[in-house]
Amino acid sequence: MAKDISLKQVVTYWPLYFFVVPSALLVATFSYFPAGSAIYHSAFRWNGNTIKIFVGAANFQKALGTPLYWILTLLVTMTMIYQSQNKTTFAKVMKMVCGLGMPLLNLIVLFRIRPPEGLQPAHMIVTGLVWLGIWFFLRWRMDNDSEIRGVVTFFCFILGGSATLGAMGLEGNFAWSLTVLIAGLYLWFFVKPDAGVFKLDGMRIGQSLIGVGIFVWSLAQNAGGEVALWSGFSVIAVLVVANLVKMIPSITTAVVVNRLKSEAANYWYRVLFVVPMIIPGMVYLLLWKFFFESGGLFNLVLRKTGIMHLIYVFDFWTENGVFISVKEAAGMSLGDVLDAANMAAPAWLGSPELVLPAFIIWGFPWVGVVGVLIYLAGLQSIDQSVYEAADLDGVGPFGKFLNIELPLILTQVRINLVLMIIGTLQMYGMILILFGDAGGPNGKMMVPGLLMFRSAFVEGYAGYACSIGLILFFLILVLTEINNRFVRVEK
Amino acid sequence: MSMRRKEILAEVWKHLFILFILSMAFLPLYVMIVISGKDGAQFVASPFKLTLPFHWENYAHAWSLMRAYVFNTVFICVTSVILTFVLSLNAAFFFARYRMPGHKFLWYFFLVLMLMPGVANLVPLFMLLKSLSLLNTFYALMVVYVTGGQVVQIFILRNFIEDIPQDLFDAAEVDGASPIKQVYHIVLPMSGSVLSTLGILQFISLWNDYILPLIVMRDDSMLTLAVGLVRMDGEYVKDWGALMSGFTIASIPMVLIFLFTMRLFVKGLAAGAVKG
Repeated sequence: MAKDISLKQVVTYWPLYFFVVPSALLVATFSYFPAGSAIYHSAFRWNGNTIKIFVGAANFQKALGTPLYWILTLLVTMTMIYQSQNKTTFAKVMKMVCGLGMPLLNLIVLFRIRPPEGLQPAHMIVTGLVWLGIWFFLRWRMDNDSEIRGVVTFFCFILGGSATLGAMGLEGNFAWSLTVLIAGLYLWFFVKPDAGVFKLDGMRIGQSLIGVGIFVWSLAQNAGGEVALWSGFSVIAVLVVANLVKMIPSITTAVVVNRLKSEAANYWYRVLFVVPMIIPGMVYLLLWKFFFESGGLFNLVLRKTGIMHLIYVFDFWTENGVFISVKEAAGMSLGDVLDAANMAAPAWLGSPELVLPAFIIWGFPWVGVVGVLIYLAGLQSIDQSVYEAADLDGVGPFGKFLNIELPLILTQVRINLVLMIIGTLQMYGMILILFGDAGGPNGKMMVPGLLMFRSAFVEGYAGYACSIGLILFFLILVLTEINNRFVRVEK
Repeated sequence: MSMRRKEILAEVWKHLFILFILSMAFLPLYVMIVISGKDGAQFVASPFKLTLPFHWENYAHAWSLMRAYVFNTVFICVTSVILTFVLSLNAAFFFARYRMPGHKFLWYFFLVLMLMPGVANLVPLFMLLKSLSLLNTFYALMVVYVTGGQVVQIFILRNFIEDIPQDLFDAAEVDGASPIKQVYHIVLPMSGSVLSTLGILQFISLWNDYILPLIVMRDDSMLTLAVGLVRMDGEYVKDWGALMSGFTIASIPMVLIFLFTMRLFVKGLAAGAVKG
């Protein structure tokens, strides 16, 4: 065990501190000082050099929009979390505040926003019906569970209402205010204090957190902040989901390698999997950029396998006009389309519609070599006899995976999941390399990190960049906290 | 008999699946090496097939462009990795072996950093380096890399040192070994596989780092390989053969590292060095 040294003994043992002092000094200077400096400078209009004017919370307002919206959302969030922990007295008070505050706030906002222009009843009806459908589907088979039903109703109501009004042609902000107004009234009049909308316990915290996420999300889009920031977050959300799916091939590969009967083959595959790792990430990135070019390998493969035809036919029928503009497609026969597919060579990273799909396909077949090796290390401890026992019990291959293999690698899967989400949120180096600081075709890939970089080093708004960085920082901190609470890692 | 046949068929499917995945994993490597030996005409005629003659002069051309970058990057990465080892081994030893007054505070001082994403720090960090007049020097990169790299290593090495049998340290103390000697004669020789895994992972991430060198370095001769490669890639008229040769050259240090440490690396991964 470690040696205890009391305060008196420090007189003789003080040189031991020199083991840790250099590290601590470095960390204090190059990690803590910049972090503090970021917080300090986020309150300034600062160009990083001579101009430095105190502007208070204006930087955050520019990024996030109306502060009152955020305060109320924070209150709602706290209500949900406290109710889920059965701290009901606090929650009751909060609910009263929210129930009153939302309508009041929105009455104020309503008068400030311009009234709607052209109305589109058809869109409204369709959107409304879709949301009704979602509501019915979510309520399906949960009749006895009134708590969940309340939550489902509430969120379908808010989001569906807002979407419906938006589709009608109302301005997003206006639609949102109107729905929140009605929702606040609903909360105030129809929800009994003890059987509350948000009354959730134990396992349902996760669901309520998803609810909060959706709530904050739709609020963020309507509070009138920086448009590029929120479109960036939606790109990030798509990429997180894509990366989630991309975790599957690594796990599958590790499981398949581990299930091989022959020990020698197992060993050789393991060695072979290390070999592609010699390509540095930077080179790998540039190689994939080369694959996605107009005359690149990706288009070649799509043409040779005939997948390009499928894409073109799909594009033709849906009139999406991703490859061909809608006008052109209307005048084309299917034969023309197929001919076009034979010659087609779109530049995937150069068109606003194709750049996100290209990012999703990026890195096919998505087998991370380090990932496979780590999973394999976890799987190694399974004895062959376990498989034989499972065979006798008639467990299928998928059953084996769920019951034997997954529990063994769950720790690694969870860690990879968390690292992936945090990494994707911060990701902008790749986009900077591919497209420079403009964020790709039409600024489509302007992710929050890149927005920060651009504000600081191109536009000279260093203070604003600090505040964007802090927003990202806060988001990641919340995610890490959620992870620490709910995704426990057993040693 | 049919049972046996079914089993063999299942094995064959597994092998086919793995071979497919492997071939896809090797594809970038293949493309890189094949194109690196092509001149312009060969590239236009058949970009993805091996063509003869193989133009080795592409490599000479790429090397002449990239020599400075390669030396810069190797120097920065190796120095940073070694300095990180020195700092993190000592600090981890301190946390694993002694309970000094204030040791809890120091521990949390590092623990908080694990939760702190670096993204918010970038702009003030740049300003700090500027006011320390470290811009356009290697020290700027090294100092930031060492600071960032040591935190994770302290955590992993602390767990590792705590698992070393106490008797070893006691015996050393009886023989009059100072704490410093204990680090370099007991901990260091025992932690080969963990250190090599941590070192390789750090080396790879530093080798690929792009943003910090991009904003810190001004002179072309001071750039690192990552920035240099992107510059080469960004030129309008591309000499694909030379570019791919450059990519291959950039991969060679990795080959060397893996040749010498692959055994330790795979062992370290298997032992759970990066489990967290």
